[in-house]
This record gives sequence, structure tokens and C-alpha cells, in this order.
Amino acid sequence: MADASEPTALLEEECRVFTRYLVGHDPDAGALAAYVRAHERDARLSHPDARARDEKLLLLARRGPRRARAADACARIFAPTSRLRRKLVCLLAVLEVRGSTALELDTADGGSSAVFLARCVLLCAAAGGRALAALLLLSFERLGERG
Amino acid sequence: MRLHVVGAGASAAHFALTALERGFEVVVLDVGRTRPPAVSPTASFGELKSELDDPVEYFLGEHFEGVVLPSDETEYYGFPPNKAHVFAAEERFRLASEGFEPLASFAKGGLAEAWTGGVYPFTEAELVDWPIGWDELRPHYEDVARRIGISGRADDLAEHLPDHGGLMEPLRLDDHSSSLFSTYEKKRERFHALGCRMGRARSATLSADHAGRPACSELGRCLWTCPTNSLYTPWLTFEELEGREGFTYLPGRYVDHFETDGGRVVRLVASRDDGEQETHDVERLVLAAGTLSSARVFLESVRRERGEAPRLSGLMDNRQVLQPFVNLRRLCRPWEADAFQYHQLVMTLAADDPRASVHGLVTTLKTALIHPIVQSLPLDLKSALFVFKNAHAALGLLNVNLHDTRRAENTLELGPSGELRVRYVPPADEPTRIGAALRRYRRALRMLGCFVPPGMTHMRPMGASVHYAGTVPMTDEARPLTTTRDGRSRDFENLWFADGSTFPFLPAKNLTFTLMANASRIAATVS
Repeated sequence: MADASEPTALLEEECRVFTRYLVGHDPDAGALAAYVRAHERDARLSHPDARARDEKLLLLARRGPRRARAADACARIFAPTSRLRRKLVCLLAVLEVRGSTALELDTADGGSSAVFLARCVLLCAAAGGRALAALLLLSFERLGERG
Repeated sequence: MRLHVVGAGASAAHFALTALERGFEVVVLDVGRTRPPAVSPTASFGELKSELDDPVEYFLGEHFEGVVLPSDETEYYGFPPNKAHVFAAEERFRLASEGFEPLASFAKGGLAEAWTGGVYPFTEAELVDWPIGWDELRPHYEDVARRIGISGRADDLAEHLPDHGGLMEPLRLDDHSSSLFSTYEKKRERFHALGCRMGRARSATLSADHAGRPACSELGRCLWTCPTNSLYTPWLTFEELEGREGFTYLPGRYVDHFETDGGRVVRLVASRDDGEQETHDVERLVLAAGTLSSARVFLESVRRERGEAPRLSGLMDNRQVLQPFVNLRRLCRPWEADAFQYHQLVMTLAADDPRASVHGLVTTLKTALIHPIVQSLPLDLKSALFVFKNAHAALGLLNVNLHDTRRAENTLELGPSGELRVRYVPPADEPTRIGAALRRYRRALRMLGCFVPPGMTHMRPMGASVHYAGTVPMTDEARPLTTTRDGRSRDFENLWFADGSTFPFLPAKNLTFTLMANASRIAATVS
């Protein structure tokens, strides 16, 4: 077990959601085991965030790949060193060194530079939109908790 | 005739080899942390990810120490776990610093176990403050070049990188470097008008089989320690020396201090890894443990002798600034996995004072762990991955090096509990120099068809380049805390300094090649 607040089952489910977010499918057994092991051996991954909002981003991200992406977009701007970002970056590191996922992560799509640059502009706009959506979701939840 | 040498880095290796060839009996004392054995030596970087039983442990480390997690001070690459021995802390060597982030190595092979193989001779102008000139150093550059194998050629950079002889053909250029170089060649006159020149890197990496080592097979594993030893490190010289008569390597020894009879060193005191202390009677002592470690041994010894240790001044290091760039012509292309990983091109900027020229190493991104870069993009990771994988083949990094001079305010001294205190203050004109160099480099990069992303320039802290020098300088002026032109201490008759401590000036270049050549030169004169 990695941490009293993070049982193995929770970490495995978190790994599945985050891997689906990053590469579009479930992790293999090796990646799953490595993700859990990382939490056992690197205390920085389990160390809670000081700000409640940053912890809520993690809770939001665990709910599914699309919410993980929105929470990540928000964290990148407002909480770049939060626990969510630490976990996602650690998982990315695991996936990039495993033969089964390395190429998926780092093979160019081909096509023209102009189309790529246009997509980059759209991605930036979409990432901003996702970050905003995540903030709104957290705000609604807070209102719901109060009300 | 016996010589005791402290340390086992680049300087010690070539001092020891030359001294042995001259007939000296050489005893090297060293902490001597060793590198792990190479795994799957014929597998490429990509193949390792599929072939290893546990690629996560190999690439990220048993404790995931190779993962670069988000922090306020992100570097663009993580340090490979299999090089942990190079910078592993030594509890007996305590440091305190101000304005400097010092690194020391207790590995067999020293800091050069983690170098990128750049070998750059100093020019006549850069040796002006030295008591010796190019003609005295050149034969030793050539000897070292023949020993270690250096690929490169005399080209547009000849003014900055003099030809010392003994060069092999350059390595094959990777596709991205080749594209940059051909653009430079087409616009050469415009670059020269800017005072900018580009040429092939000089690398201690074999382009042809040499002295029992194979030519670089482009496995893309340079950063994870070359598994075929095509990339030279001083560890190889020690492996060779250990089989020779007259040479003794004593690992597991941390040299604490030496004892003297007032004017001569008579004994060396070292502690072993098991905690026991041992002494060695000394005829001649050579400190070649690197500027910081040699200074600590010297200062500790003087303190025991005289009750008070002096302060050594003049510490130098190269400020490094990292400038990422994107070659727009290479977007959306596949990146090249099987290639030499480190820099293959050099871009220099001329200055009115030739000693103040700037040296930039151009590294195109090939094999590397990508998560440190992907996380630095201002997007969610999924979007950042899309951007990165389509830009991978277009990415590069210019590592800008600036020169340093000996200044009184940059010092080494012993603290009350024996720790080495390092104090460094950058020169007042440094921001101006950096700003001017970056403006010219950005213009040059644009002329190469590259985009320079705003806000991603990274100024590395002082100490990060690990090009330390200058605290016991060579000079013809006889005064304490200096050496003669042949590295002989003016404080103790049978003591020599054979490392960067003796450099009177540090140009904007990797100093390792000059460390080796100068150590060999000093060994050639020891009597």
C-alpha cells in the first residue's frame, strides 16, 4: 500500500483513468504495477496539496478521462506543481519508457506544417476552454456543498 | 621514483598515464565509485524499452529518481539513474555555498563520466593570462587526441578551435543538424557579417575503430552511458592503466589531508570506506581531484600545519544559458532515433576582445526522456503531447557558454567544522553580456529558419556547468597560493596541482580537453 489515503485499488483505478486520458486505452499490467510502485517509493506523489482547490482537481480528474483532461488543463495554469500534475507527469514518464506505449506517445502524425500550426492554435484555445470549464465545475460543486 | 596522485578524473588519468610512460611509479588514491555494467550493449535506445525486463527501473531508477516532477525550477532533461554514482553525495565532503551550486564527483573517471564529449582546445589569445603559450600546450593536445580519439575537422571555426593534429573524420551528422548546417553554408556570408560562425563539433567519440574501441554505432544511448565505449571517459584510461606495471589504483580512499615537515609533503592521510584511517609516505604528491576537492585537501592540510587556513580566491566557472529553438522546416517529420545524441554543431560569436568570444553548442533533440519537455509546455499533457510529437524532429537546444575571469570575491575557504565554503558573485556586466549574446544568437537562429519560443530561455545557476577552475593559478610571479608554470606548488616543494585549480583564465568552452592536455604537460615536467 502506498499511503493510508491512497489504497492500491484507488491508485490502479486512477492509473487506468489517467492512461485512457493520455493514450486512449487501458494501461498494461507492467505500467499499472509501476505506477503503484512509484507511489510507494516517491513520497512526493502522495503528499497532499496545501490548497483545497488543488486537491479537488485531483478528485475531479479521477472521474474519467475527459474530466482528467479538463482538470489537467486547469492545473497546468493555476496549479502547475500540484499533486495531480505530479501524478500525471509520473505516469507519462512510465508510459514513455515502456515499449508498448513509447511509440504511441512520440510518433509524428505527418501532414503539413500549416495544418499542424493551425491545430496548435485551436488546441491552445481548447485548453483554455477546458481550464475554464474545470474551474466552473469546481465552483458549482462548492456552491452545491454549501447549499 | 614514486608519485602519489589524489583523484581519478580527467586530469588524474592523463597525468598518471604520462608519468607512468616516463618511468614513474604511480599510486592513485580515490573514493572510486564505479559505474554499473552496461546492459544489452548492442540494443538501441528504442529497443531497450521493449527488450528489458523492467525498462521503468532502468530509465527511471529504482526509486523513480529519473522522473522529473513539476517544480519551480525545471531542467529540460532528467539525470539517468545509471549515472547516479557520478554525483552521489560523499558525507565526508561537506559543502556550503553562496551564489553557487557546486557539484563534485567521487566516481572513478570523475565528472567526465557524465560529460557530453566536447573537446575544445584553447586558442593562443585565450592563453594570454597563462604563463605558457599555444606552442607549449599543442603537443599535449595532440597526444591526448591520439589517446582518446577525437572526431572533428578544421572548418569555419578554426579561428576559435585551433588545429592541434590527431583528429579523426567527424561523426555522421544527424538529419536535423545536417539541415541546419546546410542552411548555414548557403548563408555563410550573412552569418560572418553577424560575427557568427558555425562548424562541426569536436567530440571525444570515435568515427572509426581506435585502440580497441569500436566506432560509434549510433545507438542513441549517449546520455545513459555509451555501452560500446565509443564515447571516451577517463574511466577507460584507468581501466587501461590498471593492467600496467608500476601503476597502483587504490579505491575506497578519501584523502583527508597531507602532513609536511614544514616545506615538503611527507605523508598522506586517507580514510577508508570501513572508517579506518591509513597513511602513505610520500615522495611527490599530485593533487588532481578537481578544483573543489583539491582545494579542500590543501586547505585542510595547511590548517593542520599552521593553525589557520588561507582563503583561495579566483574561482571560475562558465555561465551557461539554454536557448530552445524550433526548426520550422522539420515540423511533423519523424525524428531520428539512431544517431549520436549529443551536440554535433558549434556556433561561436566573435568579440572585440578575442578572449570574450561566446561558444554555443547546438544539440538537436533525438532520443531523450520526453516528459520533462512535455510538461513544460503551457497546455494540458494530452495537448502538449500532440504538439511535442509533431515538433520533436524540429526541436533543438543551444547551450550558450560565457567566459569567466579570476576575481577576488569568488572564494573557497574552510568553515569552522571543516566544510568547504564556496562563494561566487557574477561579474557586474554579466546581464549585459548575456543579453547581447542572446540577441545575436536569436538572430542567427532565425537566419537558420528557426523559431525561438518566447519565455523558454533558461539561465543555469553558477556551478551547473561544472567547469571549475582558477583557485591556485599558474604564474611566473613567485607568490604563495600559486604554482609555477609546471604546476608545482609555491607553498610545498614536492606538491603539484594538475587539475583546473591552476587555470589563470577560463574561456567560454568546455575545459576538459585542456585539463587532460595540461595535466599531461605537467606530468612531462615533474622531476
